[in-house]
Amino acid sequence: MLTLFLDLDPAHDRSNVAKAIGEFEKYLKASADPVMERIHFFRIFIMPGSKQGKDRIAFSVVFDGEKIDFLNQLVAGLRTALIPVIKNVVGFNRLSSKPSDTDLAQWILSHDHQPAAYHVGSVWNSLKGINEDREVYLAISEFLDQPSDLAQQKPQEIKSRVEAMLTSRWPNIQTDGQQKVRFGFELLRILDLLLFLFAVFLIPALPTILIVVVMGWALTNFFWLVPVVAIAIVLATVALVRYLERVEEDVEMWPEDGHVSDVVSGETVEGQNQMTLFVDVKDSFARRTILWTVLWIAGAVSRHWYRRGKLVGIDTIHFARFFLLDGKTKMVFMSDYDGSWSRYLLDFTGPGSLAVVPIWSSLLGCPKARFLRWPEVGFDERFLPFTRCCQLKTQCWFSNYPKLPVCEIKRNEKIRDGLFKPSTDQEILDWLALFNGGANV
Amino acid sequence: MYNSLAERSNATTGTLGEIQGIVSSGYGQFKFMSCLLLQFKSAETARRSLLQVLDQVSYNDEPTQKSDHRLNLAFSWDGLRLLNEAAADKDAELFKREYKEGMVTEYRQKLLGDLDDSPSSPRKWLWGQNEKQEVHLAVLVYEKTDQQRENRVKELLQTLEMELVDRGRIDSQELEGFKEHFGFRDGISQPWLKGLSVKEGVAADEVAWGEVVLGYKDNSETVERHPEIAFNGSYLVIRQIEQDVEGFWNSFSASEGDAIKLAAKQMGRWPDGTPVTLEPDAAKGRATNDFDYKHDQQGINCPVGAHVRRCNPRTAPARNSGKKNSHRILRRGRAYGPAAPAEYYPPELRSKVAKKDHTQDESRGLLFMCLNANFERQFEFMQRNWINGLMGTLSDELDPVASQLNFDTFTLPDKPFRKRCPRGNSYVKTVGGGYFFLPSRTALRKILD
Repeated sequence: MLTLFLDLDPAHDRSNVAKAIGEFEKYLKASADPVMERIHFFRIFIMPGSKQGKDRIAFSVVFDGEKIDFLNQLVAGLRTALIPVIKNVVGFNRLSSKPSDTDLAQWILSHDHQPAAYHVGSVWNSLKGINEDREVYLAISEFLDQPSDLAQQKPQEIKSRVEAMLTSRWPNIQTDGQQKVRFGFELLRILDLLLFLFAVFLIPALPTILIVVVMGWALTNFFWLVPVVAIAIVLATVALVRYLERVEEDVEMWPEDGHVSDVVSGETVEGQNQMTLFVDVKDSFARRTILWTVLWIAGAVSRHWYRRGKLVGIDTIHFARFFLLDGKTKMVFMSDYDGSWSRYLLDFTGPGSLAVVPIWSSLLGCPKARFLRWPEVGFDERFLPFTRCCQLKTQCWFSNYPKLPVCEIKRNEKIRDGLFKPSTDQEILDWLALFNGGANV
Repeated sequence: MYNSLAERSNATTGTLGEIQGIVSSGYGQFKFMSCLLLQFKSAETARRSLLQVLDQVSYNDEPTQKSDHRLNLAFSWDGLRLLNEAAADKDAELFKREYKEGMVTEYRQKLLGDLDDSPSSPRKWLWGQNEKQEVHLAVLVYEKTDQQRENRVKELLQTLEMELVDRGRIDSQELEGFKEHFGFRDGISQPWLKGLSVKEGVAADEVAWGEVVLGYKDNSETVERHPEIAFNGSYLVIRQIEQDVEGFWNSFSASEGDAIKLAAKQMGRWPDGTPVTLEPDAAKGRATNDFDYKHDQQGINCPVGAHVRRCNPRTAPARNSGKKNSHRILRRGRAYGPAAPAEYYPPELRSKVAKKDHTQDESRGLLFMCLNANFERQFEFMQRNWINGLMGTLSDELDPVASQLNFDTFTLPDKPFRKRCPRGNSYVKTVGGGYFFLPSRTALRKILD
């Protein structure tokens, strides 16, 4: 993923920038450039000013492969439409009047902003893999629909015929290139997990070392002190959180009808949708630190536990990312999800509240929670309007598979994974049940 | 009155007489119903004439046998503002945005599936389009006989100095066996409110008052935001949905297998109301609502995409329902138009549908009406996400009975693998609709002050 937040040059007219972004969206949707085979989602939007008062323009693209390699391809392929948009940002004029593709790619890369937390719904699924799995699903579906005696056959025979059909259509289908990629992913993930656990251990360990140094205790006393310090830190944090929750002003936010009409205009009736939020963090150092910590933990939990298409019960998220800006005083949330806004947001207050409440309750205008976890009475009623208040219009949004939900990406993957390997009759029946349309895939 | 929202939200007894009667009962004992959609000639005449029928409005405290008819009133936002601008505009931001905007906006058309390029386009509606015919007031009349209804409607139209909008009278006569026009028993699955609903249903269907009545706690212990005048009121959705009975049954005769069974699988119940998830092979006269889909996750008995399963997933995975019972609506709809000719139905069903008034020419369908406290979370959520949205892993399919949008196949889970039934165009289309506010007794008086 690559994300830029760039200050707009005040000399440029905002409406012209919005127009250029609109043109870019049209270009993107019509483009057959090879770079399009790597892009999952792309969005560009204008957001309110930074501390310097300048409006900003944000780019966020989710893609497959290495960043610089992708950027070189992106600039080469979409330069014509990209330049009219990014020429409006502060600092672009430092490049030569006609920057080379390489210079432009490097310039973009130098502005890349790392997310505070990032959730991927369909981990391991490259665009190529998603499309191939979908093709395989459709081919099998078509095969099952044909009038034949297939349903009267034993499970082994059904699967054997399905595999024969696939092999005749795609002779190389048995070569699973994704397994090698997954192995590489897994190594990186384990390393990332170890780093996370090490960092968590450091939180009580460092103060403990400080205590030991200050008090001059014997080194043998060090280890029992670690859990004591850890518990003390947890209790102090909980007390601080609760204190803040009790004393902070409860700011209610209700959207104006005009704003709602503006942001809902981009929502589609079928397939996927997107949401961009730009919101103030509650104004204290403690809150900013709490939010940063919660996002850091959320990011790690998402990377290591919620990797099979669901995030604490929400199975409609393709990609979701959080960014902290302006000294952690602002948060930007971008999400690409399936279905309607109301369903997505009501999932937030329902099954997804475990992930959402700890983050959202540090934002100014969000209804209050207890201990970062339990919503106060009235939370549900105010949560959706508050979110609408913070929602920005996204001038450009592109999805490379706009009608394919996460649950079907995972189902198609399971279907493909079940092919060309020995299976019992029951395993084959379970595999065939994936075509029933149930949610529990 | 109450000093705070919290105090009033706990009130129950003593308020029954404030709430219009349609909240507690669908008036099943009154077989004949008319919905009159009226436009005010002027605020003054509307106010004056409404005062004359005020005593006829039915409330929840009315003894069942006290009068031989029922009458309820609901205002559109435009109607409310015309009648009493001060009352409507006081805390106007607390009225739901959906109510104020109405059913026909670009966004809401997408939400509800009334797309401009579809047969349900509001441009083709009989009534309810924003520009052409503003509806200010919906009058719901319930009588025991056809003649009584005729007399009542005539009397009301004379008393109320208002214009009946073109095609603004929709008559309903109960079809045999409480069925809707496709021939299936209707109105079985219904939430109920303890201490308010005339009929109490199964425990799983109980909802808090605030799910329907404004000013009370809902299932999440929250009191919906509302202006003072909306206390003890509710929001009423009216949609006139035309049904193509012949097309519906013809679509099954083209498929292999038993037409009634295939239709029941798509409906989720047999024509007599028996849930197919409990009785997958034949109707057993069990029109119950006491069931769930825990035993039938893959939809072998009741397909995942079946109408009743979509519209109330019960204990199906939380992803489809958010919090339990948080998307329920109190349905008060009725069939309108004459019964369809018996030859439209499969032979086995012909003896069980209405035997008289058959006609091919007139349109027929469902006068869908429902009450809710929050359009976005209740009615619009159901319509957008369950009827016209993704269910399970069926992104190519919509509600096979209630969706007004076209799609190609319906998945019928089976062993060893599923079948898919081809479909024709949708068998329903929206031909009118609007959002209304059902005021309390006190609010009605204030509005007419």
